[in-house]
Amino acid sequence: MRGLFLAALLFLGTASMAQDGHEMFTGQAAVADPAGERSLIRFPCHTCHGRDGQGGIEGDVPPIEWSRLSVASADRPGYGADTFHRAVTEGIAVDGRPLSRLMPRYALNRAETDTLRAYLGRLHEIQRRGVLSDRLRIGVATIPGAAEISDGYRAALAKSLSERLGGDRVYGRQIELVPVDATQPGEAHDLLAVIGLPVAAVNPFTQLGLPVLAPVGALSGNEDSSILRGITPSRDALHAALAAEVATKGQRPILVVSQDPAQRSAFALALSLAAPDRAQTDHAKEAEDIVVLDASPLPQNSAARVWITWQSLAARSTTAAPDQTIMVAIETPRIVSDAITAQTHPIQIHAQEAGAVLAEALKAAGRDVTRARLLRALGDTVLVDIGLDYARFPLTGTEEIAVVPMP
Amino acid sequence: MIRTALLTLFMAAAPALADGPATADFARERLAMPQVTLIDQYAREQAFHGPLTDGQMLVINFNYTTCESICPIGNDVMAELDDMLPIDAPVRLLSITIDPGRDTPAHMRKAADTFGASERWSWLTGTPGEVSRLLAAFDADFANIVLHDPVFIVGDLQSERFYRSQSIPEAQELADLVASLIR
Repeated sequence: MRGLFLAALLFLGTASMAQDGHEMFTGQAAVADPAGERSLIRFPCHTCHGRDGQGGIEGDVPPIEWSRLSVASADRPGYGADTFHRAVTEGIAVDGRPLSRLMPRYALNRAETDTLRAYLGRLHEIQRRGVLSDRLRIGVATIPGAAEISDGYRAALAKSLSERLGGDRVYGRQIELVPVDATQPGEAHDLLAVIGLPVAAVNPFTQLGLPVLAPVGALSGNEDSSILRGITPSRDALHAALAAEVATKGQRPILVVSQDPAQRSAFALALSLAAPDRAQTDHAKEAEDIVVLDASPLPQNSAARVWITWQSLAARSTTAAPDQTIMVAIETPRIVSDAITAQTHPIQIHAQEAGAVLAEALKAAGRDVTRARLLRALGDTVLVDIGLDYARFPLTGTEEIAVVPMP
Repeated sequence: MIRTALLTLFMAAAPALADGPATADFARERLAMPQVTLIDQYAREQAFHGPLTDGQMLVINFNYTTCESICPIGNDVMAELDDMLPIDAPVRLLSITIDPGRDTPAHMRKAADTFGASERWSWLTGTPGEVSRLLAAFDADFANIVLHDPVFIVGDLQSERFYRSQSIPEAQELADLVASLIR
């Protein structure tokens, strides 16, 4: 019994250390951040070395999987614990030469570099989770209490994948679509990636290192495309396009309304970039155009034209005056129009497009697919038939919106 | 008066460099820059030969806003330098995009805000043709932007004397070089 207890403690300790290593590697860990130092939070390992530690051509960055670092190469001896610590903290290579100045010197203690080193030793296995000899296990989000919609989404995704791949296999492996509870990221730890998560549920998955494809809803625009790829415009892109639309409609004072001062400020900047001479105002009565960015109450000015996103319109409880002009920005015009044409629910079209993107990523990632390669493979992908271009828009593939008058 | 005092302090902190930098990390070059029109992070047109650069010592790096690997490190060096320089020093920091097709003024403004750029630090984009002419003159016209070097260039348009970093410099090294050149 005591042996079992000790084994459990050892396992828990290992798991905890591994998680800390992941958090350090990806800049999530609250490690030492002395003033003026380049910390792991600002310059995490993965941004240069890749989430798989394979290095990158930008900056000629070397691979840092421990299986590579720990053995001698043509131009250096193998690293050990002491030399690894010195390299990370002092920028001195195993052979005593200075490392590239592009490599930050991190203020980590020995226990922290040991944790990081242990994580590098597990990267190979972590990156191949969900990749089995005969199948690839990919999660598809389920919505609690909406089994029919969830099943329909998964079925449409499977059909789209099959059409794009000519069957349910890629490089000889079957694709297994696994239902994933969007509120339980921990249950997805052994999957290759997750598809169709609501945007609000994405962060806990990506923080665990799970790639997320085609979330449902608008991303903010600040997310990391090495772990997350969408198929609809981000909120930033939506606001920029809406600002350009509003700015070109005349020389009238504009009022921007949002509960978030940062959002309001960012939109005002976008407006001034699109039309430097266009007047902006803080007073509802002066405004002839009012832009509402969230569920804020509509300012009292029935003569003003209102510009609002579809999501904000749906979230608001207050209503406009009966004869007030409302212009609605739709962030998924392609999906909506395709749904109208096909007389189906837009979520079904979303699933079809998610399937198309996943199929392209799987084909491009190759036989030795990993979590990092899956998303990296989308880097140059252009899907003309569904209007996605990841070379131009790495995070979302598109910035297309439509602004239409509300009937 | 305050400006003079600040400059005096700034230059006094720099090592004595009678004929350029003391370290071998910068290569000296003569570069003639074309007149091109760029757009800064506030969507203002900026003639490269004009108020932006007249009488200014320039510290220039080249980046693109979707670069998440080495560019942020170079920008961090610029941010440190921005903080080090006296507020009235005749020094202009320029971050010039190597991806004008995607780097709109709005993207440049967002990146400038991320690195806390002061008024002296301009983030410049423009039409691909204008930007390309400038990058070619700086020998920073990379065929593949992903393969760009983290190069820094320090100098002024009037003398056409410039110093090119051979590796990514420390902010203090840039500050020392700038101080030696404006002495």
